[in-house]
Amino acid sequence: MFGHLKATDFIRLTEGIDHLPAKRRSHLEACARCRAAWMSLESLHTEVSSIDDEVPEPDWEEFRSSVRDRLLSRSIQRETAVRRWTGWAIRPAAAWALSLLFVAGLAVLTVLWNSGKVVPSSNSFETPVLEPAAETTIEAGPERALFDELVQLGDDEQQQLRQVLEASQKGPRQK
Amino acid sequence: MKKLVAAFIALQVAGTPVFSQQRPQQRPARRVLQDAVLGFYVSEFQQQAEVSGETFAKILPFLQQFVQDRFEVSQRRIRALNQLRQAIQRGGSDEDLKRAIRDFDAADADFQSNQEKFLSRVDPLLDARQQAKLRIFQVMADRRMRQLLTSVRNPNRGQ
Repeated sequence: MFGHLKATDFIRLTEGIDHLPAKRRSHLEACARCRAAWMSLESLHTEVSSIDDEVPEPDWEEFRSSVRDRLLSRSIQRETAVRRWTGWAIRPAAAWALSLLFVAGLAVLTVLWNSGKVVPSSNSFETPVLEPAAETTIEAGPERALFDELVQLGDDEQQQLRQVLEASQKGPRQK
Repeated sequence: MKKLVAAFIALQVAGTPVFSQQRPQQRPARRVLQDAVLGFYVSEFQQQAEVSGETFAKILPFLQQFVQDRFEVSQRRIRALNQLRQAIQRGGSDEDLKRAIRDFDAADADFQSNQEKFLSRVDPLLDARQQAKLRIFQVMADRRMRQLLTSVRNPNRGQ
């Protein structure tokens, strides 16, 4: 009428001999093949069941708590990052006041720097030409640098100065 | 009187080593310029000092010497200044620097001593008023020379 035990019957057997219908149970007792298959399955099932016993049950409460904490932490971090970039715009009064102060300070510094800046001569030790003394310089006696400049004149300038000197002695004086 | 003074000046000037009898083209350019500068100071002094021809004739050699020495001192001063610059640039030894400093200071001191020497020679020939005018002459002549020099170096600035 029916053959050997099927996989579903063996699964029922793992849950207990009582879960198997009576007809199947009597077949198991009569059929050596099915009994041998069951015995090998039963030993395997026993081993697997013992492993299950050794694995502790997870603490689901703790797991849920840790997941909740982590999600909350991420949420806080994301909010901080957003505020870092947009905080000054979100709180405009203080941010704009500080920005205006910064710009005003920068402008004042720039004006002061440019007004008081003296361009130094980068090659003051390299240029052997003396700066001409200011015409308004008042010296008690002869001007010290005047002849320094005369002796440094180039040929053309010497020629021009000579002509100017001769002309000044001949022509009307400009006092 | 003026003719006498002019003739005397011409005689003196022509007889000095600076104002030699060579043609200007044959003299070195530097010497030609020195002659022109000396002529300028002589002319300025003649116009401002208000001294007699006899006094002027006595003062003239001192004035010539004074101007020549100013050229010589300035050349030494510039040379020493260049030595100072070069010693600084090449990181010269302290000895080099001190030597250049000595030369520069000596030239500086000679400038002052030249001025004092000129005044000490000329002052005894002048009364107090003329001595005062001599000092004004020195300042004003230098100022005029500065104007002329500026007009040559910066023709666009004018005088």
